[in-house]
Amino acid sequence: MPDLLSHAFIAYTLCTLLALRYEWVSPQYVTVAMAGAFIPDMAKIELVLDDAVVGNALGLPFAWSGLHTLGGAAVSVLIGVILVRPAERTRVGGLLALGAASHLTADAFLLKASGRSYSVFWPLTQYAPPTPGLYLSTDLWPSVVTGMAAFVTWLIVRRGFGCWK
Amino acid sequence: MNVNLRGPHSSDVLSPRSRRLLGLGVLVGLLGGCAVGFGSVTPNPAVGDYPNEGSLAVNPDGYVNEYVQVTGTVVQTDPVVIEDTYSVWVGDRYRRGTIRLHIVGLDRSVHPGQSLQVYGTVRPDGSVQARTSVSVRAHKQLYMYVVSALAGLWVLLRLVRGWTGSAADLALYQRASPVTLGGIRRLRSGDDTDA
Repeated sequence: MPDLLSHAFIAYTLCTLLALRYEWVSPQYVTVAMAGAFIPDMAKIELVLDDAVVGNALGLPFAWSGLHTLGGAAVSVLIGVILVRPAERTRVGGLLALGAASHLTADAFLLKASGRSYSVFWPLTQYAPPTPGLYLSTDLWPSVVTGMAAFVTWLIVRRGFGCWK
Repeated sequence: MNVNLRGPHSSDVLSPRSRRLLGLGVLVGLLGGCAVGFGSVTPNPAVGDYPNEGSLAVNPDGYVNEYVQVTGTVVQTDPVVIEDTYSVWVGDRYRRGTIRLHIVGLDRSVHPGQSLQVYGTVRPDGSVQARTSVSVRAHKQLYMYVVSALAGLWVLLRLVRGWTGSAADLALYQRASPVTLGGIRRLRSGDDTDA
């Protein structure tokens, strides 16, 4: 979606809800999913190191936005996986993937003039799915709504508000 | 926790750290491959990936009567003109520059400085006949950068509280229990790891 804060809230909410089903999902693991939600936006390196600068240095076409795709995110998740202990790799890999997938999905709902999102499944396909156009990347309300969802989830799951815990 | 339990006379040629380093090298190479691969992708309207302002800049006559999606900053309102910088791979290097495009038939009023995205067809004179458009006011972009930076700080703090790393092992470990920020300062001044 829009801003990184909304992405962090979404990953927090999804992962904390998982804690209702899986006891091992501690706040430390929730952080892993939130870090995973940042993965696709590594493509924002472009703002400081232009595609053209890297591409001309390499003598090859180059687009940081390749990291903001299924393929780029999957490789990034694997980097996170090999940085942790073997015993933790399945959990960390799953949570990083959950965070990254929630980011790519939320961004596929961004409003575009053409009504088509972006090549989210690359390199499997260049197909840009139709977008429902739910929000602009600069809208304020998604961070308010996702923030409220995260807060309510925290109250219920971590503070035992309601019937759980 | 040290994962390197094998001695120097282990039959394995590579230590766990070296294997991890090798794995990292391969994955970073793959990541670079993703960036190069995606950079090589050319627009394909049939699958919803439309030519953009950069495509028009390097090939002004190539898209007449075809659909494009162009984005830029409004620099003039009557007629509407948008401007954007582009960098497009042509032949063996990136061509960079600034392009100005006339937009015709816009269904909304726009102000200089705001960001405008237009979907429409290219007319023979090079202007874009708008079919649909999306616009963003300039000050809202600042909001996005500020809250994104806050989010980065939040997750960084959570990571530092719950996880710790070892440069020697090239690895990240979960802390036995999350530390407070004061605890992290104490760890910094004394023993650096609780792994």
